[in-house]
Amino acid sequence: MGERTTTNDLGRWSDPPLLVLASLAGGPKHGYAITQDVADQTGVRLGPGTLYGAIGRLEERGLIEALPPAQRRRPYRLTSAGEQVLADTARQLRQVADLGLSRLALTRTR
Amino acid sequence: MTMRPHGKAEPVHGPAGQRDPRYVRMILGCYPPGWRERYGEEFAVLLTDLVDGSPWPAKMRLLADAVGGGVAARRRHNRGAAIRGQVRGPVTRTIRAGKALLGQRFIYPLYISRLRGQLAGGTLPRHVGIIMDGNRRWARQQGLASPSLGHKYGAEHTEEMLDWCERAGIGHVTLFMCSAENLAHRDSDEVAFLMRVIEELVADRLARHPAWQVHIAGNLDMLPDSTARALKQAVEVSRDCTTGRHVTLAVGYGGRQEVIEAFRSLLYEHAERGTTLLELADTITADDIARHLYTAGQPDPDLVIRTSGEQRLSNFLLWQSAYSELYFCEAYWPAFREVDFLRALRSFAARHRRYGR
Repeated sequence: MGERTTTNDLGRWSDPPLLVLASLAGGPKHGYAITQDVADQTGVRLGPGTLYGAIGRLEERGLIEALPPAQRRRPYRLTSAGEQVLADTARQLRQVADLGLSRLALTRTR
Repeated sequence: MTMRPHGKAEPVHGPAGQRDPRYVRMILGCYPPGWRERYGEEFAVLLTDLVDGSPWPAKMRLLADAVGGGVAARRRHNRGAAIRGQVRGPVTRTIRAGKALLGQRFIYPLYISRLRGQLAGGTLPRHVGIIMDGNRRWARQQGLASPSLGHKYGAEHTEEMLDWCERAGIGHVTLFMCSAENLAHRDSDEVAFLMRVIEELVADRLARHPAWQVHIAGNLDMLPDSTARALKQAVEVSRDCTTGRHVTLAVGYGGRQEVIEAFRSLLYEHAERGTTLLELADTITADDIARHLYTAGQPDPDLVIRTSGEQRLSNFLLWQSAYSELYFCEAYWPAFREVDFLRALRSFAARHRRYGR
């Protein structure tokens, strides 16, 4: 697993809110579970401040919502607005990814 | 609710209220109180879990990230508060929360103490007049919801200004808070807001613990009743203030109007005594007018500072500033810092005072 740190200057691929949305798309999770899931799936280690910065902004915009806490841990889940935003963003990203990959393939075969 | 199973074993935590480690509590202190109330518990748990399970270099990165989140949350919180108009606490904390801690903690204080050193032994103005200009432009620059909010920051800043004066050893300060022209020409909502801000400043800050004797310059009849009452009360309450420090609030003030009022009052005085106009015309002196000004009994300002880069007196202390040194500063009033003030004092000390000779 790569030891990449998340910073915003890496652009949208490592955008913490997007990573959180993607993680919650697999079902509700609390903070620690999100960091583990994101690290397992993408190799990005979300720091606690970064994670809660993202959670705060997502909650404020109604893209995720908090569930009742258990043992001082509070799980979050995606709202339907959150699903929509994640789907739109992922589609856009796929376009860029497809474009990049196809062009790279072209250059290689040339 | 279903929790998706994941690979790592989850650390176990005690029930709520369990005492968090000291470093966690310290880091939580970086976050604004409202945030702590909402996220504090879960954040403390997460932080402990992550830090406990990491080797040293990674621990440092986690802690740095946690503190960074606090700075960002504070900045967002302050911005939100500013937009809602619920700014609490000193302005400096609000504006500077996100700025480099290094500069704030070390460089700035060093520079201030150097400036103070330069001032030691130099000539200090006895009386400083301040034209507090630029509140609205500052608010616009900061992206606040309403330019009027700048007045609130400006008023809160006034208190700090008085502290700086006290520290520097200046006994007389006159603050130009609102001109007679402002009252007449600004839209009524903004004037009403400004008046409320002044009332709060006067009632909450100046009248409660009088460290300064309050004087008023301006035509109280032009002000809303509640404002006039708050100002009069502050004058009353601080009348016996023994610190020897005097602050004059110029509200609804105009220099020409003041001179006219002084002259009118002088005429009434002589009319009562039966002096004829011819006799008065023969004997009248500058001191006769000065006795009837709002600032009667106070020394004339030696230094007038105007913020926001405008280089005009705008009808401020027209009569009294005849020999004042003028100092103009680019900063808008809410952004005027102690270093700017100390620079003004340094500039004053450096100038050769001529009194028109």
